[in-house]
Amino acid sequence: MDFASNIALGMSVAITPWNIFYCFVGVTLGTLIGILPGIGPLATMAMLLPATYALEPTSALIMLAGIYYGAQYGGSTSAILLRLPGESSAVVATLDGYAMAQKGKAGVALAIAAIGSLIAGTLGTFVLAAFAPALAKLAITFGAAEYFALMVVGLVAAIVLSSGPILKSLGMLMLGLLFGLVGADINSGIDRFTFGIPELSGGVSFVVVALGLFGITEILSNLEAREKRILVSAKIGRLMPRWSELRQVMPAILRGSGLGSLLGILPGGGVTMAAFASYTMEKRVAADPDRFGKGAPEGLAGPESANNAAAQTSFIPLLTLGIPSNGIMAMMMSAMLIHNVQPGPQIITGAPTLFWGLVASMWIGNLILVILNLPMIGMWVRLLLVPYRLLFPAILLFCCIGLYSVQNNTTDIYLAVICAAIGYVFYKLRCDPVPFLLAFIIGPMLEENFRRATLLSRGDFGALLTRPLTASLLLLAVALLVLAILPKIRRTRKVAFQED
Amino acid sequence: MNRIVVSSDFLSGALFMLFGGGFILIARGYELGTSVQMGPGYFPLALGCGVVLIGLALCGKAFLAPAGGECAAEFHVRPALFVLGGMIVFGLALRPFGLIVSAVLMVVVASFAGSERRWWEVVLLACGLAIFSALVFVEALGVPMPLWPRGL
Repeated sequence: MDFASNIALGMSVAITPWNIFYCFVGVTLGTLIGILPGIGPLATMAMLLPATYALEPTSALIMLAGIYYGAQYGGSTSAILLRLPGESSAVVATLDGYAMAQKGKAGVALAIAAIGSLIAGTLGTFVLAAFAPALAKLAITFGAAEYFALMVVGLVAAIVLSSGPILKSLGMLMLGLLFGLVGADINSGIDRFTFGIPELSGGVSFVVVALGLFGITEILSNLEAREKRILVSAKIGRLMPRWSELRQVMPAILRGSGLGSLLGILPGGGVTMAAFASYTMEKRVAADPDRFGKGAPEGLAGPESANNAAAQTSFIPLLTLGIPSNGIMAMMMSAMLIHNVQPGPQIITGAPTLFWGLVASMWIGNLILVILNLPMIGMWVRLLLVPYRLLFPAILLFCCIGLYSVQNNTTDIYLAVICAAIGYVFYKLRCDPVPFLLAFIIGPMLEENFRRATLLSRGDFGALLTRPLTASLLLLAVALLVLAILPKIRRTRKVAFQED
Repeated sequence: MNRIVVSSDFLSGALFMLFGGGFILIARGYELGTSVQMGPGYFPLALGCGVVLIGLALCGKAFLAPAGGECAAEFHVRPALFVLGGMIVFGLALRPFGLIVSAVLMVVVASFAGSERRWWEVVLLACGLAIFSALVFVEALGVPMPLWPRGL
């Protein structure tokens, strides 16, 4: 009863013409940048964030979320047609998806990926709608100590599950926390690490860090690679899959959706891991695993569904606990903060139209992707013919305009130059920037809760451990770290990420 | 020995120590407080020490297992120089000359970052992008930015 009325409320928000329009803009833009390998959803969202200042918070979040899952969809398109993964989660689609395209079934492969994504998106949305209120109810009882522990677990899990070397990721994480502290201290009002620059006392803006570390660094690394000549010769052919083909992939779609929904909730989990896990699972349950890699439709349908389901459910930690689980969610979080929405358990009860509107819009966005974008795919793919030497100045210019419009001053452009230089060096040293970004946005909250918790326990760190939930969460964080550093686990991680 | 110094473990370790040390140095100037009532310096100091320790561990790892650490990748100076330089030029030119001029300047500077460029392409791209961004960002989205040089 509750569930149905909540969904109905969400639909009433999401179906207004303007919100449908922003959803459409978001998913179309997402598809576009998903197809183009040179630019990721994180940088795009960071560029557009200042442009959403004037919008309603709900519309802004609907559009930004659309960019995210639209990019998943676009990424698999170029993976299937050209064996070019537009996004990291689409790497799996290059295996069987491209093989299908070579057999002349490109259209069917695209349609299967889209239908799988729609089903998975629907399922993921339901998981989100069903799970989130319960989790939020639990989280609202948490105190500062529990929040501190929860953030620690979230950050540790994010680095353990990420692909970089643990020690470097841990260093990046702490460095991110430190950079997050730049600006006025909440308790004493003292400016920290600002070097006397007045623009810094509000802290380094998230857009600056995100664009510097991801957007600009992405351009630099792309410019190093020699430009590949791309030939768009693949015929797309028949789009609608036959009934027998649909029946063949349906179990894989459902398995992928389930697995993806589960993995998406985990901190640090997310779309790429879900896609790889689903591919492994499909290969294992198949009667004849030999077909995989040679155009098995299940090997495309499973991972494509899994990454879309994970894209939906990775909103759960952010919307219920206020803790982002990956870089994109950190981006969403900063968008919420800019629009004066405090992410956390109080969103569902405090701003129900925003929460349910966003949830419902994700389902609508998936529908738009299938109905509107699938028939236009041939046109989108032509974009790949635009050489990178024409593309990157445009991306760079939009980055600069975005940076300027954060606070209407040029300081942020120079700060981003510094971030990009640091980011480029770290990229060269194979240090993963994602833990840095996550820690950067969590940093101030982590400090605040830590200081509050120790104040309440009268400075006794041991007292933190007498609270059962806090103690078990912190123990979990330690256990995760120890397990990750042990050599045996490290080997299996290497295997799990070998195709990454 | 040479291999140790160029390994990415060693370099990133050194970089972490540098950053951590910098944060510690500055944080020493802030009030530390007690563990009950923490001052603004407490948390940064603790984190700074953590970063230095990780840097030390990475350097130690590079010395103990030099074969394991991969070499640091080659740095490409040209793209970095012209891309970042383009951004700085944009920032410097924006206030006095407006968006149109600074966008053109930025595109021209940035075009040197690539390995090949054709002059007519760069000119067309620069003008096209300047007009496009003026229409979309300033006219349609209302970003408060000067369009033309001051005094015009």
